[in-house]
Amino acid sequence: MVITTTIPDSGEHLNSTFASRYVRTPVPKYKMPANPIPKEAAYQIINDELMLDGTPRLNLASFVTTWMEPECEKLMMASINKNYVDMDEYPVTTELQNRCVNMIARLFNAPVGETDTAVGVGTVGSSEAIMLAGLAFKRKWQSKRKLEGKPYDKPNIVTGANVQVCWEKFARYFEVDLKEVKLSEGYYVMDPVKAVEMVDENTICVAAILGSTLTGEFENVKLLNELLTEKNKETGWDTPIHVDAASGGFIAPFIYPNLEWDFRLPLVKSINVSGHKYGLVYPGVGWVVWRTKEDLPEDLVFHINYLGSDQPTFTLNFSKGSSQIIAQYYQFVRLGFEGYKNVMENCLESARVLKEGIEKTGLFNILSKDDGVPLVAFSLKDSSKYDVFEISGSLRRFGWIVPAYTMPPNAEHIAVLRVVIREDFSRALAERLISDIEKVMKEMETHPIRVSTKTAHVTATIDETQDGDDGGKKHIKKSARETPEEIATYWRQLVARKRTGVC
Amino acid sequence: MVLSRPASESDLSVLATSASRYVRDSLPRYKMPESSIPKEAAYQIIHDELLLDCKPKLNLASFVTTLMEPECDKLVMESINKNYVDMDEYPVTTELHNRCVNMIARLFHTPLGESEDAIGVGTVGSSEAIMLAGLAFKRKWQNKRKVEGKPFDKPNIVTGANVQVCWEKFARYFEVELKEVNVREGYYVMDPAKAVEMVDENTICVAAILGSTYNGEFEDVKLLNDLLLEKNKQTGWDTPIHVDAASGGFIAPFIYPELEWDFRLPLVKSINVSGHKYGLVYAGIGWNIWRSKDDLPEELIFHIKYLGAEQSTFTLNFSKGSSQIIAQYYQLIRLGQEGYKNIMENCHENAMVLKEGLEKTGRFEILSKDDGVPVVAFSLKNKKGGHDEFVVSEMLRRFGWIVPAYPMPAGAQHVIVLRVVIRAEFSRTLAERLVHDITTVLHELDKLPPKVTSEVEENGNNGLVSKRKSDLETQREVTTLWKNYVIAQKEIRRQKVQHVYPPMNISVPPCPSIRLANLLANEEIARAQIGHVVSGTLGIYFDFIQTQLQGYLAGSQSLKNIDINVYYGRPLVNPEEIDGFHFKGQLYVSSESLVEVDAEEVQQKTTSLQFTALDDGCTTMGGYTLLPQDHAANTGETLQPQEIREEDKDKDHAVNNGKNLNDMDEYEERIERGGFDRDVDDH
Repeated sequence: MVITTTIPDSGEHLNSTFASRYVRTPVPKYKMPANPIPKEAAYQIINDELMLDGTPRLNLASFVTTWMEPECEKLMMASINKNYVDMDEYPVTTELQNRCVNMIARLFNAPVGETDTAVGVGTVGSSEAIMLAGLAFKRKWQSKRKLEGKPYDKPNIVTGANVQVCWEKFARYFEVDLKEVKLSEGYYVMDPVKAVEMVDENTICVAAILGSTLTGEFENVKLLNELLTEKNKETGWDTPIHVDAASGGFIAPFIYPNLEWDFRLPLVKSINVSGHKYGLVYPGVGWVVWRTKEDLPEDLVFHINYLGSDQPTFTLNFSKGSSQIIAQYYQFVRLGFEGYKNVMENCLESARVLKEGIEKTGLFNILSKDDGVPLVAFSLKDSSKYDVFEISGSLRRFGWIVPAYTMPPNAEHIAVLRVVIREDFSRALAERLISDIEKVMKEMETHPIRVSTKTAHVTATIDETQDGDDGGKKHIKKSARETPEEIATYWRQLVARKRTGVC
Repeated sequence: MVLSRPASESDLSVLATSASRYVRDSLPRYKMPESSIPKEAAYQIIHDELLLDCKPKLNLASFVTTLMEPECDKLVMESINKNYVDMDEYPVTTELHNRCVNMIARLFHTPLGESEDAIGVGTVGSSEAIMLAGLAFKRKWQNKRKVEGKPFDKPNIVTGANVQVCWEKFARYFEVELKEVNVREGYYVMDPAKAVEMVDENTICVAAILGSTYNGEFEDVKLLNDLLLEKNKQTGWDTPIHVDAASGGFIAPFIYPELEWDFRLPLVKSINVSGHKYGLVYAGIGWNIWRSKDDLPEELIFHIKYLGAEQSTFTLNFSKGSSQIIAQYYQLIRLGQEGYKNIMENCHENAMVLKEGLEKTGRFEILSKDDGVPVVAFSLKNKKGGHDEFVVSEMLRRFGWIVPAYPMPAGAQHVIVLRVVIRAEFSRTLAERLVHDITTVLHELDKLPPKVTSEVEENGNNGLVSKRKSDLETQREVTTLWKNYVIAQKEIRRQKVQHVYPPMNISVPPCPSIRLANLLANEEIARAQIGHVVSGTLGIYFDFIQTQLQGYLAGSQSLKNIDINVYYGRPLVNPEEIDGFHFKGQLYVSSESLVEVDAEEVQQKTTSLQFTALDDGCTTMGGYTLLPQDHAANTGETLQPQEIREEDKDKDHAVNNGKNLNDMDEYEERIERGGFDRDVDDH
């Protein structure tokens, strides 16, 4: 009478993971399983399922850094279990954060002395940074209005329609009215003149974007500053500017050092930048820097007294890992000004190569500017036969994730494809992408699908992405026997069938 | 002529990192360096500097997980470059997130069908989760009030005073009034009856805490639910409950499955839990679960077309890594209910071992309950020689342990506790080792010269007693004198300057401690006794320390030192409010004979301010020793109480009129300049 209990089969350690029973049983989806499984099996199950995710390195949709040096990865792993908020226990980590803030502030020409401490904070990303900056503007405006004895319940914020969704979030969650400057065809950033026109006494700030998400273009902050200074003088208001430099903040200082967009302009009171974009760190770090202490209302800051010194905190999140902060400091120290400059120049060079390659096909209009964030946005010259969404879907089969989307209001009839050039997107990959785009275009030309109405476009897009995945799977199964072209046809027919159903 | 320039760049690949020039240069602190350095050097420099941080595993202050299995580490590292918000590109990651939400929702007994999707969201931590939950309650309440045509501009939220700081953040940032139920000695959590009393028509929700940060105790959610149901029935309101189960959410379902605290109670509409606490994942993950779709107002959800795909999101953050979500799923399926149960039982067991060990020393009173989150909160029964829990905490640091000491929340501020959090990776060996080290500290404490002379009487040998006794007498004399004086002063204040409360416009002072110092009560000081803690209310503090205490110091032979500990709690706690800022604070007055030297030297050294801040169990201390010239002013001046009173009266008046703020500025300046002495407690 030995070994009658069924608790973990004794063969567990002998079996290879794929010979064990754990790969046979369905993975729990709705309820926590009752019993534990060996760590090897858990690892394998999750790891294998994650293989079906896109490859981050080939994700050309995102600005977010997907590659770092192994040395830095080592530092990150070593500090992943350090809770960033325990400033008392981890004073060095806190110190590194403060150093990063100081470096960034000086990079943006904040008016601080040689050894003055800059005012800024590390965040989870630009979203948090924007909410904090917005909150500071809102509170400052509120207290000013209160002092003047004027109503303070209808704050608004002026931005271009090309802003990232987090501005809308900020507006909705913190009850601020979002006034968007509409775009026009051919001009895809905020027009400073129109923006200043929209400013009224309830405007807490004007948000300019350095590196529009759509085309990578820099907005003319200098002009905005001049116009706004004039308006402020006329009206006696004191409307400030926030610069959302999420993607451009680490480009402009290195490549366009003479471009005035930062604290050199007197009305710019705060700037946010994403460390995990061209700051070259893995996702999970952003920064917001204020011009001076006065621009950050004291009543928003929570003071923590640690080791006898005052540690002010202003964040929406509390506990989080400190890996990203340390990684940011690593990059600053490791690369230095020179290193960042070289990386950004390489990115621009790859963008140029890609742009030329795309232009050479003769089928696309390039919408992105040569100056700005290194991305290539392009639309089809003739989308009567097929559209950019189909191209995006076809490129997935080659492993590339190239997003297609429509422009914001007033230019929404234009749909673009966008490729973001990151540090790790080398020239070789750029050339490979060009040849794959050429292949796709050739297919499209030979097997065009007609799309009749614009409304069908949008609905089709959603279907397409789902079907795209199906197509991808089938592709894996059949590729041994059939040529990719045949599958493409099959898949396209599938899509076509769906679409007629929708129509 | 080879290798004559050992530090040149070209030799770098040959040289060991520590032989290169990079370790000689000082690291940039304020400005980005001009040129690049090799990655090995960058790694080594940063790595070495980080060695000075505490070891996360020995940090007993924090609930946050510091150890995971290497397999999970691998998964974490593999997915660190995946941006969680790219749901279209990483569908599996999104799917894993949804599975976690479903599992946790079912763990909390959400009323759901077999394969119905739960409503919830993964966040960076409980802070974000609480803000989202609070925002949902606020918006729901606003919508309801709008429909009823009633005003909707004064929302409030009812919690215990023992809540984590993020509730205060939520309240301040989202403009909701925070109504706190004070705790009392012996009962350190929210009293449901009092909480329900505080509920009014503007209350957006009552937040209960499952696992108080202070002593790990569970609040009685069931009773709260029953009482609130009754009140709702009477008034026709519909006040819901949120449960902040940041630390207890992964404990209660496994160890106390019978305890009703979750969605089994009808008024509980949302629950947040920290994945990075007993969810056993590294820092950076929290969850918030709603009871049903109706509890999450639709207008807060963003349906965005991001990079070609439509997504519904309700978060404050956007881009972030997906490591923690994958790690959470790993833990949930790897451990299963059985595994979690075993771990929580082990934690509980280790907590008991530690508790018994501490009880055995006979010196501590245990304030944590056996049931609840596995923390051991304890305070000294007898503060021998005036050495309090802060001294113990400080001394344990030398052994590498970080054991925080902090005062209890409003209503029981005079109780100071040490708190040890038992995490999954805190083994029995470590528990025993900690007990051993605490015992060593206690022995050392006994050997230290006592802070209060009277204590020596008990320990001291006969020869000393008579001498000490006279000291003691003098001290008592002085104390009485001082008390009388303060009472007299209080009378004067009451007559003369009562009308100036709140005293002055303290809008943006740079240092909270000093600012707090300005707000502490004179009246409270009157009740202060040596060795006692009093709770502070509004008042002026500076003239107090400068004129009174120092005056006494100067005139006294035996009262060698007066420590004033200003416990700076968290803002927004006090019922008092100044310029939108709330405060709570305590004044701790004790006396000690620091060293046996002549009076003058002592005077120069020992009048000190000591500040203590409390934040999520992270207790910190610091202090400031008055500069000699401040004392010089007092040296030799044997001030009579009457004289001081006269001087003081004028001074007070001036200060209260906001004219004479020079003193305050001076301190603030000095503090900003970094004139701190963190070793004030080092006897």
